[in-house]
Amino acid sequence: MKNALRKLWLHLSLLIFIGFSTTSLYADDAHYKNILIGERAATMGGSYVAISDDSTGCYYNPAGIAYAVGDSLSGSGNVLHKMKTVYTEAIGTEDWIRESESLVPNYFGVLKKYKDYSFCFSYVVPEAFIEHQDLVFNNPLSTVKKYYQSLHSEDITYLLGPSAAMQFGDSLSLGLTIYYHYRSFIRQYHYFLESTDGSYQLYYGSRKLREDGVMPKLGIQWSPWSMLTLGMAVDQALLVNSSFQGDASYHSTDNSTGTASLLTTMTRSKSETKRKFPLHLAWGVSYFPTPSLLYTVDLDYYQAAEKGRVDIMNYSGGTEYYINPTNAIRFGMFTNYTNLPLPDSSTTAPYEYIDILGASFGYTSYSSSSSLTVGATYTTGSGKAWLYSGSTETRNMTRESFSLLFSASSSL
Amino acid sequence: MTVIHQIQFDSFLVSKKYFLRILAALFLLFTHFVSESFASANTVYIKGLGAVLREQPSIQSKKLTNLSRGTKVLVVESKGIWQKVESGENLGWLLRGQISKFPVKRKKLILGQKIQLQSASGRRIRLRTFSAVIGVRGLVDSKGKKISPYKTDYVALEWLEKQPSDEEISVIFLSFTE
Amino acid sequence: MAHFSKYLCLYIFIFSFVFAVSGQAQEFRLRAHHIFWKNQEAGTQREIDFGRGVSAKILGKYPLLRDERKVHYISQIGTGISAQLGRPELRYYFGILDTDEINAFAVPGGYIFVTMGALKLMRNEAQLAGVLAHELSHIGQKHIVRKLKLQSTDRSLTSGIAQVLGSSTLAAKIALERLNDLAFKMLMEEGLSKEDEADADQKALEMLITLGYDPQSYLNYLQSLKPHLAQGGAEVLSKTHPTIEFRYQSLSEFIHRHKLDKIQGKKNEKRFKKIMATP
Repeated sequence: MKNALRKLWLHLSLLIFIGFSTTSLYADDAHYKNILIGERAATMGGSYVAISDDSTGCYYNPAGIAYAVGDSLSGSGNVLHKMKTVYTEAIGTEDWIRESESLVPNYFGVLKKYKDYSFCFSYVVPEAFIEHQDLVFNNPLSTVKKYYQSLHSEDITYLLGPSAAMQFGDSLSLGLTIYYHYRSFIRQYHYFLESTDGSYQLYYGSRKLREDGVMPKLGIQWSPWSMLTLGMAVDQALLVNSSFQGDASYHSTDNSTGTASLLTTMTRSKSETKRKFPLHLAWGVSYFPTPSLLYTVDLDYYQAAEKGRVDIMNYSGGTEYYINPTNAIRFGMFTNYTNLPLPDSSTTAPYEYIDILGASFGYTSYSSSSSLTVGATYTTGSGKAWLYSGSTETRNMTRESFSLLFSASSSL
Repeated sequence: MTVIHQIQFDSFLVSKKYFLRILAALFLLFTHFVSESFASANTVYIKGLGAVLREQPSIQSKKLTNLSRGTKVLVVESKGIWQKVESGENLGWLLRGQISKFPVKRKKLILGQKIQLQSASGRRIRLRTFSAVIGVRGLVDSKGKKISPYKTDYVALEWLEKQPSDEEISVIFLSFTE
Repeated sequence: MAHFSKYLCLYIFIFSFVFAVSGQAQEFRLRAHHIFWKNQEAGTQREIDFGRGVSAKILGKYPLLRDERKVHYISQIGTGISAQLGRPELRYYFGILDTDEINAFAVPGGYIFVTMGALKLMRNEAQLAGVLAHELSHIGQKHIVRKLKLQSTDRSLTSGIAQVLGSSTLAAKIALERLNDLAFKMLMEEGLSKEDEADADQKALEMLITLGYDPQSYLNYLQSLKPHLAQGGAEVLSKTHPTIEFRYQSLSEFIHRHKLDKIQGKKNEKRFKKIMATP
């Protein structure tokens, strides 16, 4: 019994340190498709490389915007994104639940046609992870009187930039987007632990990261036959500047030997190391049998650029159906696989191995010069997590997310 | 303990995948059949003030009913210049000239909008004035070459547009047989 | 980054061999709502504004007959036909041109003109209805707009007109004038294709049958045009209406194919003659 308790206590204290090793700095860089962008694409599982014929296309495949029908203005006004991760029995016998909720406008674009050229300017938020957590445990263990943990984290990536596309004949088009990449990450974490013998631990840590970079994206679309389009796009982000600063202070007292002693440590670390982004290749096929129906399938290949990551392939597919000329519904599915290698017997914390699947659907109402879309995306996945520093012990984890989107676009 | 977790992890994922696949297949099936039965190519509208539905594809055939303007019908068969259509409980033949592929608005609304189009908007007045000027003076471009060699007469056009006209009376006038 | 630049070079290399040719929009991409709204008011207003310009030029060349009695008669026949079989979103205008030339014009936006010369050649109301129906179908089928689209350097006439009408610069106004001139020139000098004319004849015949008129009368009218061509009287007619012979043959064959020769209908000869006789 004493051993078991000691084990739990050990887990608790070790767990507390998991947030701070450098590799778990990023909110979720193990997955590439956490948020779906754009109203039409997002409601079709993010499968858009062989369509991309509106202002949202600037992000998926700039070549597609050459086929846009008229000038347009598009904005995903509100995307409510909620994510919940549950680590089963991670804190003693309790589950550790992490929740993130964000309300961000995740897309805005303006498209203008001029003769055989199309130009676009867009703003995209491909990653937004906002977490606020306050946990209080009273007597979670017989030796712990009170444990309080507070975590506030915001990690948002922005892409902003122009696109241009050109038609070559009836069936070919080429496009280029150049995005400015900006990321702002702030995390503040502190906990307080009071033992039954009067000793306590107090920890405060803060991390800040800013990234500036450029992400060019080249795309092509080809229609070998009427009603069929093939698309391909390639992109890779390159950081120009990255500045990280981490501060931590730790105080603890120890009454176990009968005399109080105080330990204090304060650290600051800085880094200019620039993260390496994977090379992303996307292929898409779309079939437009009637003006009321279309089917599309995408393949996204990511070639890892950093050690400890593997190449992965994500799949997505979607369909769009017009009930009548002014009402359309969409549905899609996608995979969001992890870019971490398969774990083995030597894997230690921190490590999370989880594959995610998602489905989305949406409805759009059209008027003569504008449209309104509402949609939702649901993702789910389960896997394993290594939470205890230095230990190969795992816990089951599940992750679920739900996004609600409201969007409007109009023709200029 | 690790082994057990592995198996649970796999089967859980598999059942979710299976479920999503079934859902996708059902949806695709649904859209396919729905698009077949509501095939937009076959849904048409009655244009004009109305059409006569006949039993057989012949002008002498018995009249079944009158279909009013804007009625949505489904084309079932084609024979020469006749089309067999279905509208609710009615099934009969129409002359194909009475059918429009695009939805037809209610008559009153259209007339109202047409009148609005005619009463000169500011832009229309400017255009008329400008073009009348071209007509009189002959517009030249920067090189001195005449842009439009043709004369225009907007005054006559406006006289024409002011002439009275009533759709319902005209239809009655037209239906007169000596 | 090395991988990326490798791919980039590859793409640029391949596509530097592609020649830039003016491309048409991929029609199959158009979704149901694009097609639906293409036919609504915005496009119609542009068509009407455009048509007024061309009509004004026609009236600049041929004087408009202000005989209210005749014009009212033509207008009632024409409006009666268009109300039942024309494009529901347009209002049609019917004018008479005071000239001995034998001709009729259909202008986008709903403006239809018939010459006195043509009216004098007609024997009854069924023939008049047929001619008006023929012109109506040109507007309904958008033959003129389609033909202009092919000739114009703009990729899309509608969007071209839209840009031009939407803008208030002098350059835009000049461009509009040029478009108008093109349409006018085509109507006066080139005309539409044989196939489009024959198509309009067939549609006119179907309309006559629907309205209860005698279809044979229209065929007779085409027949009656022949001698006037031979004499060289209707010069403009021969240029803009490719061989009447071709049209007559096409229509006869159409009637025969669909067994329409047995159909009887009204002619309203008395009413027609009464109105046309007055000076």
